[in-house]
Amino acid sequence: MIVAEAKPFDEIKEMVNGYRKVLVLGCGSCVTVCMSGGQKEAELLAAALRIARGIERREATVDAKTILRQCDEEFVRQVRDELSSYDAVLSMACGAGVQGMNEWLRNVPVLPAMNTRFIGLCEGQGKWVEVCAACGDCVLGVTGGICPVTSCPKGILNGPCGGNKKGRCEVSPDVPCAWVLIYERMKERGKLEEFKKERAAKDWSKRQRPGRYTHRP
Amino acid sequence: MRPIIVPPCQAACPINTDVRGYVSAIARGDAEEALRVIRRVNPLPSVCGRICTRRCETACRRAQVDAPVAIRALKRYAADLAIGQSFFTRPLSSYPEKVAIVGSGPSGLVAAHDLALLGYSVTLFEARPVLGGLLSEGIPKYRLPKEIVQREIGAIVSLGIEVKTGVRFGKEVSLDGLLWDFDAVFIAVGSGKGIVPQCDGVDLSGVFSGVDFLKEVDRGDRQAPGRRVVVIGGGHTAIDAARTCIRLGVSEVTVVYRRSLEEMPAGKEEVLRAEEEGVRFVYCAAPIRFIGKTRVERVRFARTALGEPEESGRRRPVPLEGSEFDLEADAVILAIGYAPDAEEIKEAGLKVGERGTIVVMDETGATDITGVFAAGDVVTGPMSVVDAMASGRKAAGAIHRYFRRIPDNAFDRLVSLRPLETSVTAAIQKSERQEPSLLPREQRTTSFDEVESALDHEQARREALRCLNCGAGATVDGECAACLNCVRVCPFGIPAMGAQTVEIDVAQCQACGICAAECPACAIHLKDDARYPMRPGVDRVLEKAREESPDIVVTGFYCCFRHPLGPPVERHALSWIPVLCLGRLRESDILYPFEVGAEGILLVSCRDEECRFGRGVRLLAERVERVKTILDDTGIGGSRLSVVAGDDECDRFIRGIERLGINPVRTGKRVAA
Amino acid sequence: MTLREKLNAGRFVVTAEIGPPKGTDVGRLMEHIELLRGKVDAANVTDNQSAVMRVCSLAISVLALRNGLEPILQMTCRDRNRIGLQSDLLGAHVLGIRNVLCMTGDYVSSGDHKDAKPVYDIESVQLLRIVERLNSGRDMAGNELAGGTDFYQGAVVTPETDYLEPQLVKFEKKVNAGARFFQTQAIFDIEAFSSFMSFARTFPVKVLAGIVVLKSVGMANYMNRNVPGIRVPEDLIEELRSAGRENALDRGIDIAARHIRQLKEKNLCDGVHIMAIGIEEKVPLIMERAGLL
Ligand SMILES: Cc1cc2nc3c(=O)[nH]c(=O)nc-3n(C[C@H](O)[C@H](O)[C@H](O)COP(=O)(O)OP(=O)(O)OC[C@H]3O[C@@H](n4cnc5c(N)ncnc54)[C@H](O)[C@@H]3O)c2cc1C
Ligand code: SF4
Ligand code: SF4
Repeated sequence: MIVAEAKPFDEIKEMVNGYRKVLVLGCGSCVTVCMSGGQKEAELLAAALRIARGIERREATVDAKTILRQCDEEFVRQVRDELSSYDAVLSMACGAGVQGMNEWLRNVPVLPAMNTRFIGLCEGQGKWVEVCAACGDCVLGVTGGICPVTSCPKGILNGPCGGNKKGRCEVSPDVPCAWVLIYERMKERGKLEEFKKERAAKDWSKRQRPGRYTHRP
Repeated sequence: MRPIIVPPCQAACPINTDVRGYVSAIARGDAEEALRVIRRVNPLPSVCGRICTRRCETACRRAQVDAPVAIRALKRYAADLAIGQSFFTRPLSSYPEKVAIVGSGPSGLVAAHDLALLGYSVTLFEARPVLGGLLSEGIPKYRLPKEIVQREIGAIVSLGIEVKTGVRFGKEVSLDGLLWDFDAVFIAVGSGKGIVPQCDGVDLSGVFSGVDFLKEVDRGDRQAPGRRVVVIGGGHTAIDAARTCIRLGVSEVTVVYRRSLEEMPAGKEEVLRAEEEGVRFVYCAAPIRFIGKTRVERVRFARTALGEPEESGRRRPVPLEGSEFDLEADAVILAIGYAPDAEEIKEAGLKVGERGTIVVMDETGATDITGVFAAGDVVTGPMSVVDAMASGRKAAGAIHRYFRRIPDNAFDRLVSLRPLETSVTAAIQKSERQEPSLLPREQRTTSFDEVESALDHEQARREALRCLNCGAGATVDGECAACLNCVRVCPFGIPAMGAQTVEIDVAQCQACGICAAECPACAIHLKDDARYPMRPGVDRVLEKAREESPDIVVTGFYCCFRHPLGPPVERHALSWIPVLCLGRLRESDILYPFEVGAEGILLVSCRDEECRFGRGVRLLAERVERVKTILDDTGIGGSRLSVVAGDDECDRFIRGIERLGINPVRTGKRVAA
Repeated sequence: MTLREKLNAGRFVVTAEIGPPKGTDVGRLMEHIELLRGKVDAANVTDNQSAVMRVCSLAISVLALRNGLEPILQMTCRDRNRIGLQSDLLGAHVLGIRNVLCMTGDYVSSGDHKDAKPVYDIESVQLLRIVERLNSGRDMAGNELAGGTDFYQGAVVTPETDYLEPQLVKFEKKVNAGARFFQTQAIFDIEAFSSFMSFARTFPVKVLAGIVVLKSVGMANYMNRNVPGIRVPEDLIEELRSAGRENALDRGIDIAARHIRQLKEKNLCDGVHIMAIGIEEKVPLIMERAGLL
């Protein structure tokens, strides 16, 4: 799932400064699941903007709404007329949603309220962790199902660096050393022989941007 | 028949009172609303609040955690605030049909009440000079003061009911005569005849029926029956007779029951009260003969052993050979049961059942004579006040349908919520049941003053807050994004992933509202949200506060569990909004008063470890931090929001707000952070 | 004799460390080179150590070489991708450098440009593989080179880490990828080290034990708490404490010298790598007390 987080309020406020009538548009998919851009957050952001504008004695039409997905034209089309009555739409979707909306909603600028962060898993209520870097060359099959490209800040492929301490990562003691986890998992599964195999350098050409995928090439 | 799922208390109540509804109204201090909820189904609330057999409490799921909610006491608390006050008025348009109601016990009264409200002209025939049946003559006044009964009856009669007292059906009026004058007849003459055991000596003087005894006492015709009285039986009547004897000055009162205390229909609490007053109890003994010349002198009993269970589920007492013993007595009160007067019924031409009861076709109370209905104890044999009321209600409905030719479409079936699962009960905070205070013992044995008093305000609020709000919990709508936050956040582990969306088991949900406040899709709704309309509530409260304090208005949200008696402090500038656990407040709920111009917001919550729902306070703290950041960002300033505990903190906060001045939303001046 | 030759001849070698300056003033650095020349067998030139930006290790290595101190060029994978690394390696070789130490490198967050984008296109094992490849006359992509390299490549290992098993696997991978010699992270427990060595001795590689001079009790405690892979035993800390604040450094030098002597006498390893951070000038004294001068 895609995880995004709201931009700092001041940045958002600046961004919509020149627009009188603004719609904060939540997205009902990934960002709702990660709690940062669903209806609840859209309402809250809209309220905050109304207050800030109220204090500055400025036009304070800021509404909130949510659609199921901003990254598909069909969903956007259903609300196009309604959205067209605003001077700007402040999208709480991921970067894909914002770009799609701009493409399909030519007459209204769609601005990003979010910083799109990563593909992640929930690790407890209200907490997400990046687990996949979308590297295009998946190694999970030989790393016990734990991604070193993502979970190790250095993304190294042949075992831990010398920096782990008490099973924690050198870069931040808050996170476990991915390679310690991989080693343990593979040991538990009797796959240490696999662990010992040298892994060649990654083929980064798979990550050439913009990535494209065709279902039936 | 469509099943409607209701809380167990409501399902158990024969008149299906919305217990949760009125209890939660009391919990938030709205006793008037509570009474309205009660009155919707019950025209005798002060009576029921005293002597109802409270099947609701037996069913109450709070018992799975500690003890049932004191529902009856709460009803009395609310009902006594406006005894005898009319809540409803007779409709302007009325139907031409006339109904005769015979017997003014609870069954007849409720039928009269309902039919009058439906718009029929009702005439109530009563053999005795007073209305009320056993309520007025029978149930002793130390449990049910008679003026209370009369005031409630007065309100019913004031709906325009014609009353004919001193008119005995079968004597002054006949069924044929009534059917000539009226379009329907409803018979609710109760069960008036005491049952007499088949043994030698029952005809001796000094041996009499318990019901008759109690009626005579209420009529003022009775002095102490003797010095040593033996009461035989184990029901309400037996205990009432024994306790009445004590009050009449009888020095030695012994109740003899043929089974054990466990099996006693009267209930342990009643026995305890009687013992406190000096009544002696002998269990597992049955009378075999009454001994005396003309007047009874002794009673011979045989010890019993409990054998196979009978139909009723209770075990059959079997006399033990050679275990006889005698008890001296100069009066014996028989309270082993009572039944309708079969002769009276037979004479009227109605079909008589086994124990002298009137045979009816079904729940509607229709008899085999068209236009004649019957209900109450005369149909069921001795039951209870609320059962009699329920049957009167059903009959009134049936009479209405009979007149209006509405087919007897099936009644809605009320189905109770399932019991709580142990994983849930284990997570529910325990809390002590509030008991009404009792009259001192000396006063009880010398007068007929009411023994039990009402709960005081504090007790009532506390007790009402013990209600688990069964079935008033969360529901999930189609906006659910299946993010599973509710699954992760619920203190009771109730939400679970269904086929497409999360499902919340209404039977287990504790209605804390925590999941709803966390739901990022705003897809969770609480059934009782309508009673706590957060935004309109805030608007109203703010508007009022603004009138009194034009400069500074502080909105306070307080947790009802922490402050059951209402707002923690009263101040000019403070406008309070009660919330059942602040854990249900969303960030936007906290922010809203600022948007509409409040100068400050005060949150009075429990301490973390005291939170009724375990994690409400912790989550609130996280949300408050979030809102403070928003306040700083927007230019209102986070210091205008605070979570406080004590009174002086409230005052300190208000002073701080006074220094900060007007909410910049109102002035349009951004203050430097 | 070069470092490679000495090690192959079975001589007990000593290497030290020189850190490139932050800025173009190489005055102090030259003093250190002067001090070490003729005493140690080679000196490591660190590569933006701890991710703090400094003069590149290649330039300083060349400087050392020209001034008669044999350099060991340290190369990390943090700041260059596979193209940059190979091209620098070829350049180093052209300028006469033969010893390289291949490492993954500390993360940018420990340095002074925390917002830098770290590279890590490849890592230590793969870098060793590249060096091996260059030595055989081809680049990583398999293209033939107009003139290959003749590097003597080494790697690092942390024998006193608190979680050794995967470290040993990685050691083996580095050996297989072409590492000829290893310099270890600081060791303080000779016994534990000898058990590591009995494992390491089963591979055809030379091992130089890392020696860090303890300067004070505070430093020892700090390292125990914060530096991964370092474990200063309690008795050594006690020894420092008993020496008193004034004499702690001197006692630290004693300890280092003692350890070196023990390693050499017991023939536990093939040499030592002395890391005298901030007290480079004490290296000769340590060697003297260890009986190496
Ligand atoms: C001692 C005692 C204590 C009780 N305690 C409780 C208690 O604590 N809680 C509880 O829920 N229940 C209690 N009950 C039971 C309860 O009182 C009855 O179930 C209930 O009153 C039955 O109501 P009803 O309307 O059917 O009949 P009743 O209340 O018996 O009323 C019948 C009315 O019909 C009148 N009547 C009779 N014959 C004629 C006629 N021929 N013509 C005209 N009028 C006539 C009577 O005078 C009477 O007014 C108690 C009963 C007794 C005896
Ligand atoms: S938190 Fe809301 S959106 Fe998420 S699963 Fe629960 S109900 Fe659905
Ligand atoms: S969090 Fe509270 S309201 Fe929601 S399901 Fe659980 S008990 Fe019910």
